[in-house]
Amino acid sequence: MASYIAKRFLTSIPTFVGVITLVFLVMRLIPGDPAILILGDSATAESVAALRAQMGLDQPILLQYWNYLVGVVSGDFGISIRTSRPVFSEVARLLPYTATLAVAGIAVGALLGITAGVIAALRRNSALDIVVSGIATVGVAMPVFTIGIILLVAFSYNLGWFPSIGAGDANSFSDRMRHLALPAIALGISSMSIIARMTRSSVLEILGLDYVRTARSKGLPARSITLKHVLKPSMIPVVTIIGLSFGRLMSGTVITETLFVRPGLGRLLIDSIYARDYPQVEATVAFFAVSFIVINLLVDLAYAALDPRIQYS
Amino acid sequence: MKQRKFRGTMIRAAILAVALVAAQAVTTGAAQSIAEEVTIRYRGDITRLDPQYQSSLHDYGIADNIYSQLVRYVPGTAELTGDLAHTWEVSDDGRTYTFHLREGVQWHRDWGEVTAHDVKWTYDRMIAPDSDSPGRFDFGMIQSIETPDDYTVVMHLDEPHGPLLNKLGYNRRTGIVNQEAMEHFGDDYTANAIGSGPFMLAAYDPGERIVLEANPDYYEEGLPVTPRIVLIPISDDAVAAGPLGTGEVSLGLFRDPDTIASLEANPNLVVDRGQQSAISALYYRIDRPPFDDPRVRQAVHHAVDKETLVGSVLTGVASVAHSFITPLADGSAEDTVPRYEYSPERAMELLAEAGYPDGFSVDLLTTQLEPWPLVSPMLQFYLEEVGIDIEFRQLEHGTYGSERANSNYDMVVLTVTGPPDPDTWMGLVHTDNTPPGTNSSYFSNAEIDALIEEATATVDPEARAELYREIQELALAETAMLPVFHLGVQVVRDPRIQGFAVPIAHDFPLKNLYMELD
Repeated sequence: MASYIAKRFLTSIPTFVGVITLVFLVMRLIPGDPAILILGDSATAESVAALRAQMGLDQPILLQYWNYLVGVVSGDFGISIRTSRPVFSEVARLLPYTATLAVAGIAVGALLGITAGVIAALRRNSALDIVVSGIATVGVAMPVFTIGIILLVAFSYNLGWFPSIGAGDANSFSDRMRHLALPAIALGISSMSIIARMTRSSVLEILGLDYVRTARSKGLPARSITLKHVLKPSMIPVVTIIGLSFGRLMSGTVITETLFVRPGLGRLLIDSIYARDYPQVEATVAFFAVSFIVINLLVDLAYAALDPRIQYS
Repeated sequence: MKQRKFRGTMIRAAILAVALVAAQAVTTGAAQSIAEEVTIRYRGDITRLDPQYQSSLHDYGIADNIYSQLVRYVPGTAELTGDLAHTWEVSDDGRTYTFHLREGVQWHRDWGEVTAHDVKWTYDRMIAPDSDSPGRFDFGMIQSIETPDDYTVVMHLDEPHGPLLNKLGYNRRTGIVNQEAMEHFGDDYTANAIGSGPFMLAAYDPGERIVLEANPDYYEEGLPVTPRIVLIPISDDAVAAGPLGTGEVSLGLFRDPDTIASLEANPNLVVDRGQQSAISALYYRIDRPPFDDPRVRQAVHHAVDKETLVGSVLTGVASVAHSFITPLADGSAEDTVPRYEYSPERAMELLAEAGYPDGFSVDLLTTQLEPWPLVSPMLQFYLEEVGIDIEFRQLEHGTYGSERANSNYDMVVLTVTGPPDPDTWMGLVHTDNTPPGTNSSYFSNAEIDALIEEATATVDPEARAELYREIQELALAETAMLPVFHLGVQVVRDPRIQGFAVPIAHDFPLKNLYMELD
C-alpha cells in the first residue's frame, strides 16, 4: 500500500508540473496587463513600463518561468499583485469556506443520488423509476447557477427561510449551516443527477448476477440482500463518479460562491483572473490541481475497501 | 493606563450619546431612534488599505471613510472643503501651497495625534523617486514638503499646478497614514488599518464583509451618525438586487439599467440619482485613414442619435454628453461646444464627399463593463445605418484595456472617471498622452497642447475655467472624439436610510448616513 501511494505520488509530479506550466503560460498569453489595470486612466507609456519593471514582467518569459519554478520548489508561490500578501496565505484562509461547501455539496449529492438511484433500480420500469430518471436527466442538463437562482427565488426571496448572501456568523454553527444550506443543495443537485444515474445502472447490473439470485433463492430478506449483497459492490463506479464530480464541483463553487456571495477559492480565482493577478491565479489553480490529484488517489484507495479482491502493491 | 482607558471609554460613550441624540434630532425632531448597525451592498471587495498603493476603485471608497485627507469634497458635490487642513494659502507664483492643520485630530485606537509630519511622511513615501506607488505619477509635481511646525505643511512644486487642490481633495491615494502603525503591522496592515477618518476598521473578512465602526474621537462633532456599518461586497448588480429586496442589505449603488428598473418597481425601495465625474466617449484613429479626414469624423457625429440612444438604453442612468468635461467641474463647455444634429443623410453626404460613397469597414473595440454592453451595439447600429461597416469586438474589461493600450483598434469606447477638475480629461486631447494614455483618438493639435499647459500652470480659478472652455471648443470643432454620455450614479435604498449623498466618483461618504427605526 505504502509503495503504491509513493508510486502514485511520483507519477503525479509530471501532472502537477504540467498544470502549473499551462497556467503560467495561459495567464501570460491571454491579453491583459496587470500594470495597465492598476494604473487605469492615469496610465502613460512611462508609468506602465515602470510598473511592469517593478513587477518583473519586463523580463523574458523563460526567465520569469524559471524564477517561478524555483519559487514553487521552495514552496514560495509569490506575492499577490492585487493585495501584496503571500498568495498561499490567501488560499489557506479561504480553503475552509470552499472545502466546507464542496464537502457539503458532495454529501447532499451522494445522499440524494444514491438513494434515488437505488430506489429507481429496485423499482425498475415503474412510475417511480421514470420520475427519478427524469429528474436526474433534468438535473444533469441544468447548470448549477440555474438551480441556484431557482433555490434563491423560492426559499430566500419569497419564503425567506434562508439568507441569500454570505457565509454566516463564524461564532454560530447554526447560522453557518443556514447560510450553507442553499449553496450546498444547489451544488448537490447538480452532482446528484449523475450519481443517481450511475447508481441505478450499477445496482441493476449487480441485481442480475448469479449470487444475488442465489441469495434470493435462499430466502434472505430483500432488505438484507440490497444492503449487504447489492449496494456495496455496486458502489465502485459510483465512488469513481463522486471523485470525478469533485472536479465539476470545483467549477461549481466558482459560480455558487459568486451567486450566494460567499467567500472562497472560486471567487478568489475569478477576481484574480479579472485583475490579471498572475501569482494568485497560479497558486489557486495549483491548489485545485493538487486537490484533484489527492481526491483521485483517495478514490482509488476506496476501491480496496469496497472490494476486498482489489489489492494495491 | 487603566484609568486612561476608562476615561477614554467614558468620553467615547458621551460622544456617541451626543451623536445619537443629534441624529434623532436630525430625523424628526421627535423621539425617534436610529439603527445601531446598517448593512450595505458594496460594489466589490477591497484589496488593500494602504492608500498610496491602492489601485482598485473599491479600495478608494473604503479609504474615504477610514482616512482623513488634507482637503476633500463636500459629499455629493464638487465643492472642496477642509479636512485635516482647516485653511490653506497658495503663493502668488502658484508654486507653494501652505496648509494649516487642525489641532487635536487623533489617530484611531490611541495611536496619538495627527501632525504635519504624518502628512509629510505620507506624501514623501508616495513621490520618492524609488517609490512604486501608482500615485507617484499623479503627484510628481510636488518637489518637496516642509513642516515648519506640527500643524503646518508647506508643499513646494516644481512649477505651478492649478489642479493640485482638486487632486488632493480626491480620495485616490490621498489618505494620510501613520508611519508607526504601518511599520508595526507590516504585511497585516490592511486588516489593521489606522486612519483618522470618521470610521475605524473593525473587521475585514475578504470576500465576505468589511465592518466599520464609528471613530469616537472624530473631529466633527456628532459624526459619524451610525455606530456600525457592515459592507457586503457584491460585484454583480443582479445578484445584489436579491438581498436588497429581502432587506438583508439596506442600500447599494447600481449601474445596470434593467436591475435599477426592477428595483424601482419595488414599493419598499427608493432610488436616488446623481451625476458622476466621468465622461464616456467614442474615439477613432485620427492618425490614419479614414478618420484622418475631418469630414469622416463629422459624419460619425451626424450618424449617432445620442438623445435616442441615452433615452432608450440608459434611461435614468446617464445624460447626453456634448463635451468631454463633466458639467460638475468649473470650466465645462457643455453648452457652448459645437453640436452636430442627428442626420444620417448629412453623414452619408459627408462620407461621399470624403471619397467613401459606399462607406468603409472598421473595427469597434468595446468592453463588457457596464453600461457599454448596452451602448456599443447602438453605436454599431447607427454607424452601419450610414454605411460604416463595423467589426464588433466586445471584450472582457482586462483584455479590452490591453487592446486599447496597445492601440489595436480603429474605433474604441472609453470612460474616464476622476476628480471633478477639467485637468482630469485633458489627457484625452493632449498629443503626449496617446495609448496607453487616454488620448485614444491620437488627436494632436499644438495650439491645444499649449493651452493645456497654460491652463495647468494657471492657479486663478476663473482664468483656468476660461482656458478649459477654449480647449473644449477647439478640440470639438476638430471632432477630436464623439462624447456620448455623462454617466450617472444610482443609489437604491430602504426609505428609512437617510443622509447618504450620492457619490460623484469613487467616494462613498458614510459619515452622515443613518437608518430610522419605526
